[in-house]
Amino acid sequence: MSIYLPIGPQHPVHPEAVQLKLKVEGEEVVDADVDVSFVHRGIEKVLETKTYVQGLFLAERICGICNVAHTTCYAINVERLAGVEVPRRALHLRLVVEELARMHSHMLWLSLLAHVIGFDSLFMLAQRDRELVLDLMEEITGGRVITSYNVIGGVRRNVDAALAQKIISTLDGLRKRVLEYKRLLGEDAILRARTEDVGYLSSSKAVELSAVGPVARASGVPYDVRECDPYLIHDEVPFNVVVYNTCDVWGRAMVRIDEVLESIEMIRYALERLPEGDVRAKVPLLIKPPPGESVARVEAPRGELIHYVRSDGSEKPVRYKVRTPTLANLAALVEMLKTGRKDRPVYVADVPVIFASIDPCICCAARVLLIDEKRGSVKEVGMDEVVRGE
Amino acid sequence: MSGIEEPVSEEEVLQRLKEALGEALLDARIAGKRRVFVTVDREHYRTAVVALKEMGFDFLSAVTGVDAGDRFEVIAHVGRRVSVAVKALVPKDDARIASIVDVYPAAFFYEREAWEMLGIHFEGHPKLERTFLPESWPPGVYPLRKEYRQGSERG
Repeated sequence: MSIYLPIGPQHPVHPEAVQLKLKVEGEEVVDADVDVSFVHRGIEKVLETKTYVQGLFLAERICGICNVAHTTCYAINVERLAGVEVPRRALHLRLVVEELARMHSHMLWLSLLAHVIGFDSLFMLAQRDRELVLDLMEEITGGRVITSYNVIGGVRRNVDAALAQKIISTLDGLRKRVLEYKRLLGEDAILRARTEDVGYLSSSKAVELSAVGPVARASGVPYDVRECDPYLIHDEVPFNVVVYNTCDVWGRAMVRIDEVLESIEMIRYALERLPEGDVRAKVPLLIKPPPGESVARVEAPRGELIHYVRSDGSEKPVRYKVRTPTLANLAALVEMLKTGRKDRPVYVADVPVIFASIDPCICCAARVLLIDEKRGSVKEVGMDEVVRGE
Repeated sequence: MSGIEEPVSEEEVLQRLKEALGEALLDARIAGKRRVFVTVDREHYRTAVVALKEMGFDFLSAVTGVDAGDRFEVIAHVGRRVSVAVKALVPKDDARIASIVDVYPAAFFYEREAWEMLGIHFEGHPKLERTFLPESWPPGVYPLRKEYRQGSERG
């Protein structure tokens, strides 16, 4: 006999409002669906009413953690539309801040995975080390998480030689800690037991469902926008696309850990070769790009982020479309929740770990929505849906 | 999977799309590095998307719906190395277009989004249901249509 088990929208293991609708038989999950319709903000609609410069600040607020990815994507789109040439020094600094953002996002993710598993000392340690990155972010940009660093035409602040040296030496210290986490993930029996063979996503399914980011790369799909579609100076900076073939939560953890190590080297490379010159091109406050359209993609910490913009020659876009990595991975998440691996079915106890493994950002995925919803009795509504839908 | 096996040159993509679609290709251009934009009418949208899939493109980035004033547009963004935007023109008084979920399963949520926000019906979508808008949202109201005004704009 199967039972319908709704998890969320309020649940201790995932602070964001999302509902997982599971069909369970005993302890085993046999079917799953996701409801993200709780955090509606209508950002795409509002972007049509803002000038290109105002829109940058709104784009930054699509996601707190990924704010650098969103402003990079937005700025590239507007710069392409308006034909703005960005100084090379600014491209280097954009890369530095983007990789720092990836580092703190991945470290936050690691701490949350540890927390979900119940390994709270690792949670504390990862959070402590993430602070080092946030401190650097504050020194470079003035903001710890929301940076407001990218502007149309470049970046807002310069980095001098002393700060560049400080960044490099701090990251050298951090590297040792990250290597320790990597050792832990390889050796700790509990971490392995809770993540290995859990949240299975085969390579063929990852391709079929167009999964992105660490989720795709842990299933053996070597897709990284930085490599496929270099948008800053990625064609000059050497780095490896991290790929694991384990297709499980453990692989997703290892991809992210290795990416933190890659980021450290990329930042060092960019800072050691920082060209002289301006950090921003002069652009008017009221930008009126010629009619046209542009597609920009960046590799956000969670995967490919794509922005599409259409201009009609006025100071506001006709259409601004955002597809965030979490939305791209929702289909993969549903697949992971209902498909076990060989003789290892999906247990209810695996669900929080699987859910955490895509690094979900629900307010990103649901950014197109318009109002906050106040539902009374969610469970009954969900039950009805299952009865109707299946 | 060893690598990404897609055509890598914009010219090659464009050439092969021209071969597959001929006269149906209303507009085709290379817009900068790794960017191809093509326009078709809605009857040839699926043909164009299938042609890309057969070329080796196994990745769908997104499906964008646009209210372009006198018509709707549906844009499928396909490809990892080269991002190909296939734009289909959809008349406003008959907002229907073929679904591509069977070609690219990732279109499942993206087409739902375009349907919810713009009211473009994707024929052949297995389950065109609400995903993003709340249950209390009135049916038949499509927020990304130009005639829809947000609270702050209503005055």
